[in-house]
Amino acid sequence: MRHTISVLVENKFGVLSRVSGLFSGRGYNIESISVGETIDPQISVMTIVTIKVSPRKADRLELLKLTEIFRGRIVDSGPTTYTIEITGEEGKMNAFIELIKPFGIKEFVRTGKVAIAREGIKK
Amino acid sequence: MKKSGAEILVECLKKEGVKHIFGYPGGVVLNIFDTLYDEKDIQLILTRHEQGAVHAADGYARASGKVGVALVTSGPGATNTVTGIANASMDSVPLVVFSGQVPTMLIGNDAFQEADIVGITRPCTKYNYLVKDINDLALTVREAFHIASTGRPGPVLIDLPKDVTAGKADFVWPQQVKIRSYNPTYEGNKWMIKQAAQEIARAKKPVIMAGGGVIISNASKELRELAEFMDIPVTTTLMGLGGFPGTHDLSLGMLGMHGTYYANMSMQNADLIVGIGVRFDDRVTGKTSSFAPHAKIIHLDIDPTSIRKNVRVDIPVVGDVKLVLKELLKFLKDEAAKEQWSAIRKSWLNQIQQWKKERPLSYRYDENIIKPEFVVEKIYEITKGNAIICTEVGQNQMWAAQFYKYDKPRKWLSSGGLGTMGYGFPAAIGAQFACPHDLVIDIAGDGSIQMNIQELATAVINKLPIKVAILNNGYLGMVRQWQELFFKERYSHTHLESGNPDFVKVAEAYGAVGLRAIKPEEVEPVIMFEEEEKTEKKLKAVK
Repeated sequence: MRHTISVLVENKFGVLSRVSGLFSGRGYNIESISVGETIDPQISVMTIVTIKVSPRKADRLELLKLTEIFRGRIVDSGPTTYTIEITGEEGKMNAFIELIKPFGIKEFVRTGKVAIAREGIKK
Repeated sequence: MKKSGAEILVECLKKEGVKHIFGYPGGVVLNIFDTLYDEKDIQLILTRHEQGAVHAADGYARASGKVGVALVTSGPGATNTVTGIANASMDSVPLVVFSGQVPTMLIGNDAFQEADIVGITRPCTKYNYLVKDINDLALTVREAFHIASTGRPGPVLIDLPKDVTAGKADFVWPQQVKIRSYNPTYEGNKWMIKQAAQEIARAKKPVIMAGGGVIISNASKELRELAEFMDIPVTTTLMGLGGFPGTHDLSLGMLGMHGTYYANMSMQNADLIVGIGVRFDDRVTGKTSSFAPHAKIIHLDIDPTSIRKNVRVDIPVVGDVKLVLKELLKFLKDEAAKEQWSAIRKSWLNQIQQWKKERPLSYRYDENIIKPEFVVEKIYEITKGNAIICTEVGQNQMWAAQFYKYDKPRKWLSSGGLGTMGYGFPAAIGAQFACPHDLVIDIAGDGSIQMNIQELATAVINKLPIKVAILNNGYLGMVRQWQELFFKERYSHTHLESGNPDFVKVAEAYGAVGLRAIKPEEVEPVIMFEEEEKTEKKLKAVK
């Protein structure tokens, strides 16, 4: 049975190990784990990518455009919320967050960095 | 005026009311030891091994209810504390352990005597810290004592790099401590408590199962009130011994693998189990699917992660068991009067009486050989149940649990969860510092005592009148017992006798008194010896 768990944790060194240790110590394997800062830099969240905002009616179009500019994706649209998924390097993410802050961020989760090495170019 | 990190640390400890620290010096904690050298309010007790220091702090905490404190150096000093810390973690003992660390600049460099003790102890502490900035030191100490002693207590480790204790800063004592992500629940949910009260009032064959939580929460009075008011029999876990008087008519003694026949029969036939401050350990439940098959289960515990961890629970109440029991009693007293309960309970208590008669705790007395049960009984008789009894782990522990009746809390110090051989003797040292006027006895086996026998030096040098009774059968008895039962009597590596030292001579070599009893009639004089001769320390090898 697969579970997805999202938890708010103190943003202190060792917290990832502390939480992942709760699983490994009981013999459970973790399929994927990610940690990122929340709006409050003292708190981190452990989970997967999604951003939920609650735009006023007139703002919805503007938000949609901003999402397009940043090559984001609306993964859910409700009467009062958009859930936006967005990937990119840190600077781009921070710029986007700054831009959409005025719309009112209801919920915010961030994966943190993921990386893969490029193939070396032979000369 | 600025203070050094070591001075700040010592100031913090004084603010926390610390009087005793159990420790062992080393390179990176020299600043702290130097500061403590002139300190009048805090006594540092030098043990002979860091494991001994942590067990002593543990025994001190269990006997007194205060936070036990240990101080060790980095690397091997720190890793030697791991068993002690894990032991305290399993048994919910409040400890603050300070370990030295290499200077922050060197951390991660495989420096001399460097060990990632924060990483190593993460799973066996309640919380731990690496202090990287001297300005965080006072708050960290304050938080550590708060975390260790509140909620479900446990050990907290603080790792102190040398440059932090050597550095200088202003000492600012935080007036209060508030940790956003740590808020233990003390008051139980009223609605759940009411449900529990109704279920108890409805039960025909209830049993209370009381654990270490009753002792930690100082809830013995409330537990007794509940049992007597409702006429409910009480069994205790190993950790709960003394939480309910062992000599009480309603006492069933200990339950589980090494428990009494009547306690286990009661559990298996009960229609309601009220678990109070217990975690339903496997040594208590056996196969969980057939544990208390006819019973509804009420579980009162401060630790929400203990609820439904091992067994199904019908009514959970998370909270401090003392407060929950008080609330529960209020509800129950509103429900009905005392007379009805004794009538309702009559057939159940008669049945239990029957079981008690059928198979009481017993052993066969022998005129020629000293039976270990006989020694424990004699100790009980002579001390009238007033001593603080520490044990090692194995058969000695179970005999001490079964044949000595514990009427008061904090008189029984034993490694329950981790089962640490070598716990009892250093714990006795800690207990004697906490309770200088009590008689402290360690009931040991010939295997266990050798795991921390070096602490004889600590006991002797501090003139501690501790008695150690070694039940010397020449074997790792508990393991041998399992080999007898499950391994066709193939006694692989459990025979100790040929390698055992002469324990009397060992005691004497350390400056203690060593006495040996070979025949049953020699047991009493050996136990009594101290009272007459006023010796400081004795080691009894009972063979």
